[in-house]
Parts: sequence; C-alpha cells; structure tokens
Amino acid sequence: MNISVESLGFSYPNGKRVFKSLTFQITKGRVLSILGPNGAGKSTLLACIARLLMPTRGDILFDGRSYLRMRQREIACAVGLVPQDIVPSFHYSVLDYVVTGCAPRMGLFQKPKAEEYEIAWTAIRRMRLEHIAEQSIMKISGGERQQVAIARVLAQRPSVILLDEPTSHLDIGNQMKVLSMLRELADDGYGVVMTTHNPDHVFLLDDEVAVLDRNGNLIFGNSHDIVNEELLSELYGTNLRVLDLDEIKRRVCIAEGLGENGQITKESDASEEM
Amino acid sequence: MEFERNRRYHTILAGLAAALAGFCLIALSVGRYSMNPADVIRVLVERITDTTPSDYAMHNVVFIIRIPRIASAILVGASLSLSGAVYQGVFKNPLVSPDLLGVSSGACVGAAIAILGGGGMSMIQVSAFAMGMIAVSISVAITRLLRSDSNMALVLAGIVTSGFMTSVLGILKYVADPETQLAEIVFWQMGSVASVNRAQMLAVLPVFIICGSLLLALSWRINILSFGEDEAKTLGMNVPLFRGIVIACASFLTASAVSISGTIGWIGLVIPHLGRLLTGPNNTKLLPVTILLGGLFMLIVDTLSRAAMSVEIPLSILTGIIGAPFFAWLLWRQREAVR
Repeated sequence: MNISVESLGFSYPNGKRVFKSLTFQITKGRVLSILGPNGAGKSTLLACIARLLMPTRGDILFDGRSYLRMRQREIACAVGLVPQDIVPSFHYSVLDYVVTGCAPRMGLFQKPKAEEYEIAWTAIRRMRLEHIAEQSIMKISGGERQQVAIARVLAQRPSVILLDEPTSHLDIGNQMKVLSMLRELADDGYGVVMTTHNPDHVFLLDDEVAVLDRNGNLIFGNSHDIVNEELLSELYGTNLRVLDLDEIKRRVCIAEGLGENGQITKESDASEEM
Repeated sequence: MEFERNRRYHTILAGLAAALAGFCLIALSVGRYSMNPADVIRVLVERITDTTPSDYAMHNVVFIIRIPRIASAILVGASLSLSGAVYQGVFKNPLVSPDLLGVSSGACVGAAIAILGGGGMSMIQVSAFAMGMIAVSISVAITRLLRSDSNMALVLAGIVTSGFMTSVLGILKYVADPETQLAEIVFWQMGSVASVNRAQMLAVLPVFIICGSLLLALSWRINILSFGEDEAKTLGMNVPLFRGIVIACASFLTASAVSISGTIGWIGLVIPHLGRLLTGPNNTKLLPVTILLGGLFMLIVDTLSRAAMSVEIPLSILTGIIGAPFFAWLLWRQREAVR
C-alpha cells in the first residue's frame, strides 16, 4: 500500500497552527525519516497519519482512497503506530501485550486463540524477545519496551509502520539495533516512517527524508539530495558540520562546539554581535 | 507455557466455584434457625424432585428467607467486584472503585428521597437505581460540556457529581424526621441484604445477566483500553463508543447492587486486586475470577453479619473491618509495584 499525504494541515482548537500544507508520499520498501527540531510537529504529523488527530485541512490517500472516509479499523489494518513510550498501569505479560496487535483483524467479541498467539510469538521471535515474553511489561527496561512495541506492530501486520522517535530512550547500541531492524522491515516490503531529531540517523538510513521546520514547512526528497550543512544549521539554530568520512563511507553530522559559558553560538549571530 | 497458564486458571475457577457452592450450603445451614447441612440437602432435593416437604418450617426458612438473601449477597458482591475491576481497567487506575462516577452517592440520594416520601422497599430500590444512573449521566454530561472525551475529564466530573450528591443527601438528612426517617436513611447507607425478598432479587437479576455477559464478552477489549486511549485507537477501536458501553454496563451493575443492598464499600476496590494476585491483570481471566471471588466474599461477610452475633452487623462495617486490613496486606504483597 502506498500513502499520499496531500496538502495536510493541522491546527489545535485554540487556533495554534502546527503545519499548514504538507505533501509527501510514503512508499513501501522505503524508510522515510521525518527530521525536525523539538516542537516542529513531527509527533502531531504521525498522529494525523494514524488518524489519532483529525487534520484540519487536506487529506491522506491510502492507495488513492481518502482516509477521511475509512473506518478506524481499516486504518489500523493499514497503518501501525509505535508510540514514544508505553505507559502500562498493570503487570501484563509481554505476550499479552503483543497479542493485542491482532485486534484490528478480530471481531469485537472475539478473544485471541492459538492462531493469534502464534502470530504474536512470530513477532516476538522476530524481535528476538523470547527471553522476556512471559515477563511483566512494567518490569522490563525502556529499551526492551520499545522493541516490544515494535513487536506488537508486527503482530498488527500493517503495510506501513509509523515510529515516533523510536530511539529516544535507547543507548547507542540499542539505537543501532532498532535502526537496522527498520532497514530490515523496509527490505521486507513495509513502508517505514520514523520521526527523529538526530540527523545522523538520517545519514545512517540513507533513504527518504521529510524535513519539517518550526514554521510548519516541509522539504521532501532523498536524504543525500537535500540534507546538507546549511539546511541542518538553519533547522536547529546552531553550527553543524556534515563530514564525508571515507573510513566508514558515509556522511556524519557533528556540532562545531560550545560557545562561551557553554552557550551554543551560530556564526551568523557571532558576526552580528561583532 | 500458555497451556500451563490455562490449566492454572481453570483450576482456580473450579476451586472458587466449589468453595462458593460449599459456602452456600454452610450459609443455608447457619443462622437463628440452625439446620444440619444434610437436612438442607434433603430440603433442596425434595424441591428439585417436587416431592412433598417433610418439614415445612425448614422448607420455608430455606426457600423464603435464606435463598433470596444468599442469592442477593452473591449478586451484590459479584456486581460490585466486576464493575470495580472494569472501572479500574477502563480508567487505567488500580485504585478506582465502582462509585467513581457518583453512582453510589446518587443512589443514596434516591433512597433518601423514597424514604422521605414514605415509600416501601420496592420504591426505595427503584428510586436508588434511578438516581444512581442519573448521577452517572450528570458526570457524562459535564464531560460533554467540557468538550472532552478524556478519562481525566470523566474522573473530575465524577468528583463534582459525588460532591454535589453528598450535599443533597446532607440536606435530605437534615430535614428528615430524626426518630424514624433519619435512622432509616443511615441504616440503608450502612448496607444490608437482610430484607431483600425474592421479587427484589429477581428484579435485578436480568441486569446482572445482561451487563455481566456483555462485560465478559468484551473483556479482552478492556485489556486494550487499559493501555490508553491512543493505543486503543491505533488498534482500530472506536474508543468513545466502546468506553461508553463498558461504563454503562458497569454503572448499571453498581446501581442494581446498591439499590437492593445500600452502599457497601471496599469490595469493588479490594476484590479485583485479589483476583489479579491469582490470575494476573488479563481481563479475560480476571473478570470471571472476580465475579466468583466477589460473590464468595460477600456471602461470607453476610453470613458472618447474621451468625456471628445476636444482632446483625451492617455489611459496610464488616467489609471495612475486613477489607481495609486485607487491602493493606495486598499492598504489602505487591510492595515492589507500590514503590
């Protein structure tokens, strides 16, 4: 399934506009990184795609069909969302949590049987989480919870997987594990969309990117075509360097350094002060 | 592993059902008119086989006095526990009890109005039920006025409604005749199934069967709701509709229970915790176990209330005396989670 976001706009009921008119495509087999600073509206955009929030303008087409006319259950069969964090209130086992991913394809009064548990086990094995399958989701680490949430989306069997800052609570080892898992999922034919504020992750994935700034403007394209030093420095309001490292054969993004008293300064700001 | 978990669950269910059946026999035997359990079984067999009763006194005690009372105690305990477990799941909060949206305080006002109006037991039951449901409707209406469909708005609206109903009850108590009506209102509030007759018990039975069955059928979906509204939506659920159905069923159950027994505290809070200790939080297993546990607990409490002393002790007092230390013990058992 391919998804077309068409002139999408969202404003809160108090009138505060997050973005006015965003247009881009989500293609199966590709990883689309939505890159932007804090507060740019990345999570809001994902919530609109999953229809947790109703857009105030525009539409999203699922294989050409307007999602405004689809039922929530149909959307759930097409799109799965991995939230930033799961906040459980009860000691459900990891397996009990993952099996809920089967819900969109089950009847209202149906309860999971052997078939649904097998789907959940397949997702758990895919994420290599068998060792914690019977443990409480309240007792596992934040990194494990993130992977459990991805396992649940796999049990949901959507065409497109949305991930809201999937690496935000993870150490660098687990970040690499999640990013390589996303690459694998895209290679398996899923459309993968993740939000991030780390430009290095965009370079690591080396695929599509949608750059969202604080004014709600979006640039969409291939990361090697559009992501450069100037764009990133402007986006984050600080001096960033993009270096091509021959040793690892990829680009990296690093900050130039801290200014006086630990303040981050932009070259342009410094020159204005002079 | 799943097979072992299921076997353990079925063993717990069978054990509780057997305990409930056994305790029913004890409850039928003890009381002011004490009977041998063998005699009770004989009376029951005579009824089932439609033979002429060998002892009419025993027959009357069992079928006219004790069975309606025992059935009412089980129904009230099961209803309050089930709705407590459901409310805790829907509101993602293990400290929630079934009167969260003001149903109990509303029922108290309904009962007090009926008592002041000189109504009999049936009138009190109908009025308590109606006002209990009106209180829940007010909570929902306030949430609508706030233009919110969040759990937090519902909880706050419940606090507003409960506070208002408690004040109205205060006014009704203030104007009640202190010799007769005030005492009746206070005793009603303390909870009892002593005077429940067969007709009253049968009046709430359909509510229990319909709402209980619906909640059991939706138990797995309650799991999903207990992960949060956004998670439920991403799994394709119509959250406002589903939550509305579940809250309506739980409120009907609570209002029915309170309408025949008066307010009985603690049970809706404590029993679901005990159930989770036995089965874990999965509502597909928790809800059936909670129904049996709640029924058994209430039956034990009611039997103690009429058999332990020469004067009947109101149920709310006993559930508090037993429930509070029991809850403390449960918290101690789950101290890691509490920390």
